[in-house]
Amino acid sequence: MNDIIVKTNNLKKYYKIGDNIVKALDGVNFEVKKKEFVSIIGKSGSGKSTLLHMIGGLDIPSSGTVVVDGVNLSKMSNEELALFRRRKVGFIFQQYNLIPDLNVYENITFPLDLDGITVDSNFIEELLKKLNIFDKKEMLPAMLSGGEQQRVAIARALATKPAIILADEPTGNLDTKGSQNVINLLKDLAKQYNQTLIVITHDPDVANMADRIIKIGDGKIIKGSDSNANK
Amino acid sequence: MQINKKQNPITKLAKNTIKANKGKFAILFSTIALASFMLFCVFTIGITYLDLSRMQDTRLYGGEFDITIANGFTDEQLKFLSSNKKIESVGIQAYSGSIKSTDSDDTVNLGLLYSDEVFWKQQHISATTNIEGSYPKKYNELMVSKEALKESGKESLGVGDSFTMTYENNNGIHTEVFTISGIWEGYGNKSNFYVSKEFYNQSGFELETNGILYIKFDSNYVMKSTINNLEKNLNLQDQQVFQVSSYIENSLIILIGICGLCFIICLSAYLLIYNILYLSISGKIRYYGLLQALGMTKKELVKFISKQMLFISVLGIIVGTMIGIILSLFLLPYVMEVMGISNGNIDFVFNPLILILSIITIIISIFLGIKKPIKIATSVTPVEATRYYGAIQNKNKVKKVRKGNLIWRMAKEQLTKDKKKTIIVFLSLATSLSVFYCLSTLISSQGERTIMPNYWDADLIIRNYTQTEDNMYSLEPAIDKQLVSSINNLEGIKEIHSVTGVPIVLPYVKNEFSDIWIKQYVSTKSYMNYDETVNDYQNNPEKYYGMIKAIDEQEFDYLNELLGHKINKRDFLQGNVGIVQFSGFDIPSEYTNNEKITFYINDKSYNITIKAINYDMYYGGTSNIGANIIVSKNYLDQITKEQDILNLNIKYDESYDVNLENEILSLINESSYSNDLYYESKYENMRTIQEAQGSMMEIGTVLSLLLLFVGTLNYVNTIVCNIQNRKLTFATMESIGMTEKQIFKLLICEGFLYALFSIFITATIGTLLTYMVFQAMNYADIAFSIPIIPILIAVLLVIIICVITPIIAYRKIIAKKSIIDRLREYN
Repeated sequence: MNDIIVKTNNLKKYYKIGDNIVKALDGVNFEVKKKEFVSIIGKSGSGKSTLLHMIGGLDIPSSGTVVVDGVNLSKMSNEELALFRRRKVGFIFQQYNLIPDLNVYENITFPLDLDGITVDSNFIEELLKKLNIFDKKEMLPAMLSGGEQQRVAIARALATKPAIILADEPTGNLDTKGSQNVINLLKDLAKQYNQTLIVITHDPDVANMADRIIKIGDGKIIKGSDSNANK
Repeated sequence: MQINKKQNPITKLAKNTIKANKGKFAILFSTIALASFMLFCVFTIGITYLDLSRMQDTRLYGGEFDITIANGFTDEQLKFLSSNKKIESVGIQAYSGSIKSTDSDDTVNLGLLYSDEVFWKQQHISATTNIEGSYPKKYNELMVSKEALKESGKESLGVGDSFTMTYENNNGIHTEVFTISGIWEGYGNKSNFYVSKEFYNQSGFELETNGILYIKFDSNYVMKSTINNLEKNLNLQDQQVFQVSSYIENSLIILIGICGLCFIICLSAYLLIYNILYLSISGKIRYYGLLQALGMTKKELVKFISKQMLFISVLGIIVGTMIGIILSLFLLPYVMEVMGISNGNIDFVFNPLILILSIITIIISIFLGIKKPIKIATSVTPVEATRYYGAIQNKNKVKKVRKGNLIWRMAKEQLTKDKKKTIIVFLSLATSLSVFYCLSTLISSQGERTIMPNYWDADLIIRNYTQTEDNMYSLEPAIDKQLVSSINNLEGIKEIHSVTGVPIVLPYVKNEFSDIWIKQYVSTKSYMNYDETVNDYQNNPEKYYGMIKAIDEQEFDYLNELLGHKINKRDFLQGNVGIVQFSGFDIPSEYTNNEKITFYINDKSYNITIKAINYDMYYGGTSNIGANIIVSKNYLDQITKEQDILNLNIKYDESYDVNLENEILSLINESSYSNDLYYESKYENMRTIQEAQGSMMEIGTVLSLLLLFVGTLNYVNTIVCNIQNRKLTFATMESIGMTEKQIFKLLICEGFLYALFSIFITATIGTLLTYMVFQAMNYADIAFSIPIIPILIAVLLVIIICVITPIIAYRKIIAKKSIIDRLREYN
C-alpha cells in the first residue's frame, strides 16, 4: 500500500453549462505507484486534462477524493494546495505556460525562488544542457520556438525534483523524433530522481513508452485503472 | 442591381455592437465622460484661481493696476505711458496734505489724497464695494471712508454733512469747513480723505514731486522683459520708485503652471482613454478577425471601430462637460457653503472658451488614444486573431539573470516593463501630490506670508496718541499701569514690552544737532522760513520739544540688530549712548554718530551721545517736532519717574488668538482714553489679507484635491488594466506553486514602489518647486514651513491607494475564477 502515490476514489467533476450538466469526470477510481510511468489516453473532452488537474491540485473535485503521497487534496486550503503544487508536483502544460517577463533560467528556477531555496545552479545547468537549451538561458520565452518553450517547461517541472511529474500533451508540438527524445528524457530523469510520471497523450507511440496506459472515455476509466495491470 | 437606401451596414453594425455590449461600452463612456469632466473642472477652477489672485492684489492695494511709479512723474513719462499700446490705463493720485485735527479729535492721523478720474472710475472701482454720493468736485468737498471718519471722530456723519478740520498742505496749516460729498466702502488704504482737483491745485504740491502713477496693462499676463523695457524707456529719476505688483510679476509663471497642469491632465486623460480602448479592442480582436474573415476590409474595420468611438465619445463629452458645468458652477459652491468651507463667496467663472478648449483637448486625447489600439486591431490577420493573447510579451530578446528577493525583483521589473506608461503614472501621481503639497503650503501660510509683520513680530501693538505737535504737556497716561496689569493678567499673554517716554527740551545751538534738525525739518515744509523758525525756536524751545523714549534690554537687543551697525550694549544700558529716531528727513551722519547732545527735563540738563539712527517707524508716530531719542529704561528710571507709556508691544502664547485679542480690545474700549488709543493687530492684518483673497483658499483646496483625484484615478486605471493584462501570468504563477499571499505581496510591492517613487519625486522636486514658489510670494519674509498634517494625510492616502488598488483589482478581476478556468481562457 505504501507504494501508491496517487489514489482517486469515486472522483467526480461536474460543470454546469446553461441548463445542462457536463460530467467531465464521473466516478474515477485509480491508483498510481511510486516511480511508475503512466500514460493517459482518450478522445478530446474525455476528461484526461481534468483528471490531471485534479491530481495536480489545480482544480477541485465536485465529489470524491484525490490522495497524493498520503495527503487528501480535497481537505487542503488554497495556500496548502499552492505549496503542494510547488513542492510535490512538476506540471508540464500543453501550452507551456511560461512567464513572459522572466528569462529561461528565471522561469526554471521560479518555484525554487518562491520557496527562497538556494538554487543548485549545477543541477539547473545540467538540466539545461540535457534539454539542449543551455545557450538560451537568458532569452525571454517570446524569442524561443515552440519546441524550445516546451523544453523550458519540462526543465521547470523537473527543477524542484518533485515526487510526481504531470505532463499534458508534452509532445503535442513536436515531431515524432522530438517526441521520443522528450519522453525518453523525462523517463530517464524520472528514473534518476525516483519520480512518478503521468503523461496525457494522443500519440500511441508515446503512450506505448509508458509502464501502463489508462484509457478514459466520457469521464470514466475504460481501461488500466488497476496499478497492477499491464498495458 | 438594387441600391440599398437603408442605413449604412457599418453604421448599423456599430450601433448594434454598442447595444449588445452595453456593459463594456458603459465603461468606455464613463471614461470619456470622466476625462471631459476633469478637464473642464481643472480649466475652470485654474482660471478662477488666477482671477482670484488678481482680485487679491486689487483688494490689497485698493485698485486694479500692475505698476506704481511713486515720488512724482514728468509730463513726458505720462505721455509715453498713455500712448503705449500695451497699457490699458494710467491713473494718477497725488498727496495733497495731512489732517492734524478735527473739531472732535485733536490727534488725527489721516492723509489727503487726490485721485484723477481714470484712477477713481477705472482702477479703484474694482476694490470698491459701495459708493454713496460722488467724488469731490468743489474745493471743500471730501470723499471719505467710514474708517477714516471714525479716526477723525466723525463716524456719525453722512453724505452732505460738514465739519471743521485743521490740515497741513505745502502752503501751511489751515482750518476750514469741509462737506462730505461721498462715502466709499471697499478694500485698500482707508486712512485718507479724497479731495477735489481744485483743492489739490491749491495745495502747493506738484505732480512732478508728489504724484503717483498707476499703470494697468491691457493683458493679464505680461512678460518680465516687457516690464523691464517699460522701466528702461521711462528714464526714471533717482527719487522715483518703480514698483511692480506681485500678481503681474507672477501671472505668467502661474499661467504656465496651470497650462503645465492641464498638460498633465491631458496626458492622464489620454492614458485613461488609451488603457480602456486598448483593453476593449484587444478583448475583441477575435471578433475583428471574424469580421475580416467574412470580408470586411481593413479600411471598413477602421471605420467600424471609429464609428463606435464616435457615438460613445460624443455622448461622453456632452455628459462629462454637463456634469462639470453643473458641479463646478452650481453644486460645488453650494456644497462648500453648506459644509461651512466657504462663506458663499465662491464665484467660479464660466468661460465658453474653456468649454471649447476642454472639448478640443478631449477630442485630441481620444484621437491619440484610439490610434494604437486600431493599429493593433487592423494589423492582426484573421488567423492570428483567433490565437491572439494580447500584446503582453516583452520585446527585449535577452535579459540577464538577476539576484535578490524574487518578489521585489519582479515588482521592479513590472515597473520598468512599459517605461512610458510607468513614467506617465509617476508623473501624474507626483504632479498631483506636488501640486497638493505646493498649494497646501501656500494656502496654509497665505495670511502670514503675505502680511507685513508688525514690529518685533508683535501680535498687538497699542499706541498712546494723546500728544499734539506744539504742546509739550499734552501727553496723557492713556496707557496706565492698571491697563497694562489687566492685559498682563489675561491668560495667553506671553510677554509685554512697553516704550515709556518723557518730553524733553532740546535747546537751540547754532551749527549743532538742534540746528541741523530744525533746518532739515523746515526743508520739508515749503511754507516755513528757516530764520523765522529758528527765531521762534530760540524764544519758545518748548514748542519744538522732543521725546526721550525708553526701552528694555530685550527690546534693545532686537533694535540693535536693525541698526545696520551695532552699538555697545553696556554703553546703551548705562545711559551713555542713545539712538535718534528718523523723522522723515535726513540728518548728516556726523550728527548721528558720536554727537553729544544736551536736553532738559524739568529744567534739569542731561547729556547723551547719539550713536546711531533708527529708521523703523515703531518709535516714531508721536507728533512732536523735536528729535526722539531712544535710551535704556534703566537710564530713564534713574533720571525721572514721571514717565508715560507710549507703546505696548504684546506677544501671545499662540499667535492669532482671537479670543485673547477680543479681551484686550474690550479693555481698550472700556478705557476713558479709548479714542486716543490706537492698535495694530497681526490678526486683523491677516484677516484683511484673507478677505482680499476671497475664496482663493477654497478654490486652491478644490483644485489641489481634484488634481490628487486625477493622479490617483490615473494610477487606478493603469493598475486595473495592468492586472487585466497579466491574468494569464498570474494563473501560470499560481499553477506552479505561487500562493495567493505571495501574489498579494508582489502586488503590494509594485504599488509601494509606485507610491515610493512618486513621494520621492514630490519630496525632492516638489519641495524645491514649492520652496521657490513660496519664497517668490513670501512678502513678509516668514520662515519656510510646510503644513505637516495635510501633507502627511495626502502621502498616506497615496500609499494606501497605491497598495490597495492592485489587491482590489486582482480580487475583482481574477480571484473569482479558478486557476484552470483562467488558463483555459487563453489556452
